[in-house]
Amino acid sequence: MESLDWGQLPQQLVNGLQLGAIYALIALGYTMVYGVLKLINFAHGDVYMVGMYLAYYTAMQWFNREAMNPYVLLFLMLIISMVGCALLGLLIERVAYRPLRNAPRISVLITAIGVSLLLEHGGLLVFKTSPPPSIAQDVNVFSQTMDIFGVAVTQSRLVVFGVTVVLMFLLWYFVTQTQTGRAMRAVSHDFNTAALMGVNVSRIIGITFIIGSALAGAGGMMNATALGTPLTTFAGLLPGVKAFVAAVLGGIGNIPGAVVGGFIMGIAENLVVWGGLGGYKDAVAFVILIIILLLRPGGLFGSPVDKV
Amino acid sequence: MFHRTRFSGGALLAAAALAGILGCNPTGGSNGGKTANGGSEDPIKIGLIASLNGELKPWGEDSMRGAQLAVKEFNDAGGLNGRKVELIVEDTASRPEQGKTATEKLLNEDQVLAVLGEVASGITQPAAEVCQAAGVPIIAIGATRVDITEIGEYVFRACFTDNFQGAAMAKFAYEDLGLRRVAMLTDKKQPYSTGLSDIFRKAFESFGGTIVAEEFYEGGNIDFQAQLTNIKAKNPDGLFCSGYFNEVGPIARQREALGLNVKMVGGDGWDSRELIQSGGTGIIGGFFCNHYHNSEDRDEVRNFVEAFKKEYGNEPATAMGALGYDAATILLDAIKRAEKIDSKSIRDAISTTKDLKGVSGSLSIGPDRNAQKPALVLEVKKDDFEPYKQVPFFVFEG
Amino acid sequence: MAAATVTPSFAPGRYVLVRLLSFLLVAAIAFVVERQVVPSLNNYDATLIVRSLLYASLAVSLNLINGITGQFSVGHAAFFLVGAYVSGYVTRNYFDSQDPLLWITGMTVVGGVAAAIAGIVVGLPSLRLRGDYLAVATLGFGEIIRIIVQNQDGKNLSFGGLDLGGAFGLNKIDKLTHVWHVVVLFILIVALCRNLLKTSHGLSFLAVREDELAAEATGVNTTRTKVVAFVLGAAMAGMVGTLFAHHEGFITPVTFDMSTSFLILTMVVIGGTGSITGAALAGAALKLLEEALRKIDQIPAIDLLGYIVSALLVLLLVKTLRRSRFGENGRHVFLSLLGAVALAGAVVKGLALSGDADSGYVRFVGWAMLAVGSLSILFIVVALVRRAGATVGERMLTGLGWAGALIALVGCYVHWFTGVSVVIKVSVIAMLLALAAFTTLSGHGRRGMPAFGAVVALFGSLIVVKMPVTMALHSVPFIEENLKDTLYSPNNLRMAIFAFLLVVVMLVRPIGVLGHHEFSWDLVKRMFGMKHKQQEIAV
Repeated sequence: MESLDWGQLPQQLVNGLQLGAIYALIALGYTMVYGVLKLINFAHGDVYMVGMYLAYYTAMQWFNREAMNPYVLLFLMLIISMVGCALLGLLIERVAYRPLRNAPRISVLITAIGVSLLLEHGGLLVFKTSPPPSIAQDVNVFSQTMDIFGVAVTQSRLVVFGVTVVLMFLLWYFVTQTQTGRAMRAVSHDFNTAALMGVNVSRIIGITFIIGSALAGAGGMMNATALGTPLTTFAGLLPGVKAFVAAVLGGIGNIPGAVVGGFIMGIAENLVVWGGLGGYKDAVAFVILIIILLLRPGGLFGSPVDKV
Repeated sequence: MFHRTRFSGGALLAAAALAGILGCNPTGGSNGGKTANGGSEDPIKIGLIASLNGELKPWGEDSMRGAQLAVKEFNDAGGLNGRKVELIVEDTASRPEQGKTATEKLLNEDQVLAVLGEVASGITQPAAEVCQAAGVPIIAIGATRVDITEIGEYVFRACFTDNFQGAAMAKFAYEDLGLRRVAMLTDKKQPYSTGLSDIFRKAFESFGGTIVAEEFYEGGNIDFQAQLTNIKAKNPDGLFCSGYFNEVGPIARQREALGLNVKMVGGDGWDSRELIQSGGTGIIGGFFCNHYHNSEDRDEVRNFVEAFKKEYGNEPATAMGALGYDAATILLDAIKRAEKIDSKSIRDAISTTKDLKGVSGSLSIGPDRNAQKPALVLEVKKDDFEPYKQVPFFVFEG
Repeated sequence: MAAATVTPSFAPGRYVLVRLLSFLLVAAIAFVVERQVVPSLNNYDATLIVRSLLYASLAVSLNLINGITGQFSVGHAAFFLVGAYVSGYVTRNYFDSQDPLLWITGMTVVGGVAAAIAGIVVGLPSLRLRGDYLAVATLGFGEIIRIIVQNQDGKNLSFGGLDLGGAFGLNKIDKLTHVWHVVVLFILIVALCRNLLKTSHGLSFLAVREDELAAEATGVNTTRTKVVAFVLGAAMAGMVGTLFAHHEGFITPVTFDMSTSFLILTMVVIGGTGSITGAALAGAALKLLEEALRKIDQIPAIDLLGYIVSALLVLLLVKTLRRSRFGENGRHVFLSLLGAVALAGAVVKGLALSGDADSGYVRFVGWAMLAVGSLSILFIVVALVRRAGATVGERMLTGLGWAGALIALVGCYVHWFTGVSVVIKVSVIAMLLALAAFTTLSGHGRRGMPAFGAVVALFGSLIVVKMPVTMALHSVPFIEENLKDTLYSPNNLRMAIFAFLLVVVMLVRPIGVLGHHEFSWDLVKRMFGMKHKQQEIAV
């Protein structure tokens, strides 16, 4: 192993932020669902995968048609992914999770794993997977690279970063400042009491799933467009788990925490590669997870609790 | 202990599971037990194992189609004096342990006389061990790992080895592209990629070049900026990506975005048109080593591509279509020449294959049971791959 | 809730005798397997036995952690990996002409100990975690171990130049595993778990599962119990890994990835969290199902879609009926009628097939369908006449239940003539027979007969509803154009089927098929009317 190349550190940190933005976007959905339902929605990563596919099929449908402004196309892809994923999220909640509302948490978790496997393997029948398709580079109108103080920054990834931060603030505003958001926090705090106080719990949970899944859809669309990720039905598995780690890292249920957690994860992964241990990149997320669970199970910004 | 609780749910699900197994359409089973493979009117049974599921599906599916096409043509032309050949296909799901059971199933249940496949070395390894132990010849379709054919005298292959492929690309990079400082990106999850990188490193260094960096990722990763940033710092003039096209595409895009302006070079894992889509402008001008190309100007290639199109509606998407076809051709030719129709005689006939006209070039089985064929370097253009140069067969001892 | 049978008086003589006899029995089984069964099997059959028993053992070992102790570990493949790799590495480098039996026994211990150490490493830190956090942490550990092994190729990224073959894996491990080793290991693992539950140690495992706080309050050392569960479960998985490595001769990191962990978890959850019987059966059944699916014909996409749509329709129907004013009886009658229609359909189809000129096998199946269909309808009539149940619906369902048992029996017979491996045949037939015997003979099975009939009715209605649905789907231009020629091979649907089963089991019966139930000789005795007095204490 050679010595570290400190000159590359700024670039690696920026790379980390860019990668982290993607994790953060998925982590927001995780954190919302967990915050309200206390459920690790394992299928969340697969909803993200569906979002990538929806974006791909939209792009295939309208790309290279005349009278289609590329910016409009991107917007359309974003909307279709978000709406499609929101509907899927709602469907999953209604069919798989709602009947188990009063079941032990483990049962719900196993169901979530089952739904995740079902989306991955059932998706093979529905989506084009062989060979894995990807969104054409020309769809991405923000593909130029800028040079900022010697650090290369791709425009599209800057957009992803910006959108993530904006969405985080919107979400934070929604949860803390609006009536529905207050209801959401009430449900998160105490299910039964909230119901007694006149909060329509089912509706709130539905809204949570809609928002969380829509965010995953947005993440999927932006990721697939910006990176040219080849799409397989398993593409959501690892990003999903890593995003969950990001959510735990930031303190699950905590919206800014999820985003910060995502950034830390992205930077950590980049630093591992920078240190010459590229083969262990995927293990970092889990190492971070285990360390954080042992030292501060509530996460960086969560309330410290003794046991989780 | 079964206590007095309602057991209905249990019975229900057990019944469901059993109904699932029973659901095997009874008419689909064979007519009461195994049929012997001996009678002169019965078809000659050969087997094929392929990754029809999982991450290697694009290649596995093509290899199956190619082999099926060859068998169909053989039967349409009258078979072996009127006796047909039946190809039984089993899925390996891209997993070695499934490859083993698939092969055992073919050998023991279907009593095949020879086996074709697999496209990946890691899956061919256990399959070949099974075949060697049973004394049934196996012709690997896309297993390029060097030591596969060292398992025994019943193991052959229709493709070139990594020893040749890696050395050919190293030679091409050094001599034709004039590269001297090359960085490598290796997929740590794929034995194919790690093996190819090793050979390339050895060969390139033996020609006098330098490997300035080797970075790693895992198949399924999406972001490679960290590795590329490291590589950029080493200031190379070439980038060798030994992985599959799934990751090479995004690598190419991100390489360009980072301003790492080097020539990209790779192995036959690049071989899919999707690479052009996922790689965008970043991949254009890259070179990779392949077994043949659909647009090559040879009769065999033209006929094959035409027949393939007619049968399946599109051109073979990867070279495994042609290699599957060639592997089946070698086997069918051997069946024709064999003294008797049994595994031993077929093996002996395969080992004496000489100058058979195949899609991927003239097929001869060498003393090490490998096919000795040239490699074709393809250049990635905006719309398609284009043959750039043929590298004749040579022996590189790594 | 589970019930534990506590023998009121302890008789040491009998205890020793029983233990001695069981050891002799195990030895006898091993002998029979090695000398009588294995020589008549081919390699494929032997591999099927080995794989199914190994996975059954894995499921049983995970069940100790997940089912019995109530922890939620999702990284079980990691322990499997550690056992396989450590023993495989040792054998590959040091085995040469030692006594194979002695060596493999030693290796099993080595693999078990190595995995147990991994179990401590994973178990100790995870003790602070509960439920879903523990799940993700164990998943993480599993991946970390796999990635570490994957990087050990004796080159730049490996620790101290350790060479485990990297991504390619370890090959040329001497194939020392015999089928009987696997049989004995399976029996030992099951016996260990089973006997553990009969001791006070075992009860403390259950106590931790039921209520950790209460267990602690009653003096159970919950920390110790959990660590012991992890270590034991891991050690068993490590032993399984040893035999696996020495059976395959070639192991790669991919074999032990997340999807393997999920597969083992699926086995435990479907079989019944907490049931050793359930885990073992589900483990063997799911592994065999994987191979059985190879033999099934491809399904046209539209047919598959038809099945899915009609399954949803039937579920919707049942749900609507449940809310409707027809009440339970009406629902039963309606379901039974649909089932009866399906049986009538079988008669018609049987008539058509029995005249098939080409294939004797098809004629045979036709006659079987004809006979079974008519007899089944007769059963319903008899049940109605005999008033076997409180309501008309219950009577009809009881008749259908008997019909189902008959179908299972005839299914066994027909199944014998399909082309699948003899191992799969035998296991399917054994399970069908057990099911038929249980539903017809056992006391409360008889009470479960209407419920079993309801299942038959549901399947029947599925088939009935599917026909018009498929026709309707064929007439939709969009679907017809896109899916007309698409065929799915059931083998490709394998994991989707497992996942679907998992979700359905969770929705229908979150506790798993067998729940906390176990197979016991008491049950067999009760089935054949040889009830004996026992004291039962509900826990």
